[in-house]
Amino acid sequence: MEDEGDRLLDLLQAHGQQFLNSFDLNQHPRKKQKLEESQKELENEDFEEWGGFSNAAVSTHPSEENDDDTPDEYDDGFTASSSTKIPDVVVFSDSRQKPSEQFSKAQKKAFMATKVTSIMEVDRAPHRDEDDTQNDEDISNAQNDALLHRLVHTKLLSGSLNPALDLTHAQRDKALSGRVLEIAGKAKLGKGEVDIRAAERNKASKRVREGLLRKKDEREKQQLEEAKNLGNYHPTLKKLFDTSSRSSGRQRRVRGLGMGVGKFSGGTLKLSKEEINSVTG
Amino acid sequence: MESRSLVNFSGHQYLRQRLVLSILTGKHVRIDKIRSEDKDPGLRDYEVSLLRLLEKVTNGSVIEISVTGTAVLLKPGVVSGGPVTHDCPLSRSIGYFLEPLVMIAPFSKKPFQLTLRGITTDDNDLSVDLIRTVTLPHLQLFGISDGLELRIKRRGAPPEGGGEVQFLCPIVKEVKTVNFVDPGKIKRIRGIAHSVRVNPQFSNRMIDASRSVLNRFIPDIYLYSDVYKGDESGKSPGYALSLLAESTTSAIHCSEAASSPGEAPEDIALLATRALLSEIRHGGCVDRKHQSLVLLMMVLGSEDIGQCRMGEPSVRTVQFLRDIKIFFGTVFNITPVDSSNTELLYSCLGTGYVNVNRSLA
Repeated sequence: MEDEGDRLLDLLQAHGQQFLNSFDLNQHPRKKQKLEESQKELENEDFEEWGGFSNAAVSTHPSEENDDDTPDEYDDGFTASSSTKIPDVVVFSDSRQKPSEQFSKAQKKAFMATKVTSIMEVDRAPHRDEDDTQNDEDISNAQNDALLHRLVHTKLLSGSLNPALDLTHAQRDKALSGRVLEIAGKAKLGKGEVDIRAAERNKASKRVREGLLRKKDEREKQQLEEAKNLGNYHPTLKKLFDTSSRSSGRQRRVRGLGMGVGKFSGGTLKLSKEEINSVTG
Repeated sequence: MESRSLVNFSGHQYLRQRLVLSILTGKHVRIDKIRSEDKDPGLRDYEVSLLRLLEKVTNGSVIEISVTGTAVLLKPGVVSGGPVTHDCPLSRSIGYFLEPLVMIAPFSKKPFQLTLRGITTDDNDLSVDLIRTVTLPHLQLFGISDGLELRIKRRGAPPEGGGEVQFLCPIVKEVKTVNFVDPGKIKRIRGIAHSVRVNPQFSNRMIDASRSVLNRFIPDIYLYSDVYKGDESGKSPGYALSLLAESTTSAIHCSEAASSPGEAPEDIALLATRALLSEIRHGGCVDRKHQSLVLLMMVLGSEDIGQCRMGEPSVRTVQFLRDIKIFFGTVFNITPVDSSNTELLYSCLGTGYVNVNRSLA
């Protein structure tokens, strides 16, 4: 406790000295010396009560030690000079940090959970493993679907080569050409043979052609009815039983003079990154 | 002739802890001179309600209250637990009733499924938020964790209340010995600011005001704004902020402040924040509000020396230690940790209390 008291006294002392030093004191150099002397002494000793400005008991004895805070005979030492004291600046930074991103949703949920065990397990660093595996699964499912579709139409049901189907030469021929078209990419998967037969139909005369189309429509209507009767039909399967063939808005015809690279419009040639790379190599 | 001993106390203070100790030891307890010189002598309504609740929760206990209400005799039965519902009076919050039950719940015959209705947040007692996030994790130190839950179904602010909580507690055979001597350093601060039936901006204002003080200490601060709407928000308006600081060794210090009419939310937040800082300065591994719980669990531990480092005991804790000596006969050895700290090391020999009530089916 005494250390505490001494520390506080020293603080008070220092504060007082600082206050006094802020005033520019006009003094006799000798007194100034004494001032310095006594200041040093006062810093070392315990703080003594200051007797006030009117205490003109100034002794010019340099040897006198127990002097009060140096009172000046002539004036009280206060001049209107600028204070040399620098104001104390305390900075309270009101820096708002954004809520720590480490407090993820999982941790938030764990903290507000009703089960006490999960509150204490908030320590676990937020792991995004679950999200990643979910994404991976989705991607692989879509990929698998595409792969299956490709396999079904290319390998699994090779319509032309299966001997059990008893195809005639004409049918085998058309199936093979259809498959070739599919592979070449000119026809959609599964529709190669349909395209071949449509092309052949178009070679015939008008009456033959129209007759064939009519027959085709009838056949398909019958198939639809049969499917409905057997219970195989569902509105989502409409496309399967759809008879009208529509060309899927043939991919847009390229307009203008395709001069190789880029697109020219509005007086400017617009190049994409890939095009530039392909040129520069 | 009384084959069991009868313990006598006087005065209404420390009533709850004496009832709890009586139930745990099975000793009859008689408390008299309850507010005998008061304008309203005798037991208050919440104390009577607590006795009713203890009656519901135990089996075979006999409670006799004198005509004037200034004396009560409790002959405790067996803690049975199971599903119990109780409507708490609106003079004290649910925390008042839940605190003693948390002390006896692990030793019941069947796991507690206690539903309490009343005021959830109050100035006088621990709010349900703090019970969930601080009191119950203290039980985990002693091996009571699996199935320990506190569900806050509705919030209820004073004076009208309307809150509801459900307390689920597992039963244990015996309590582990704890050796918690390292308080560690505070690594994060969490908080829950909630407001019911007032402008929802009040929670945000409380969070902002609290952050303005706490931000300069550690970066990991998250104050959660709990939203309850409509029916689940109770009948009266109010708001409160509960803060807890967790250390590297999972010692928790907590504080809270609830609203009173005419006060700004910023003032409430600053009150809670400064209380938290002073609680942290008090030091130790357990904060002052939970000293009793931890000391009780240490006494009930297995027959081994348990140690815990805490700050100076509060007045309530001192009386609790005296009551433990009367009921269990256990004396704590309290030594200062070192000369520079005000923290103390509490150690005792556990009594090896075994839950004989539990149904083994």
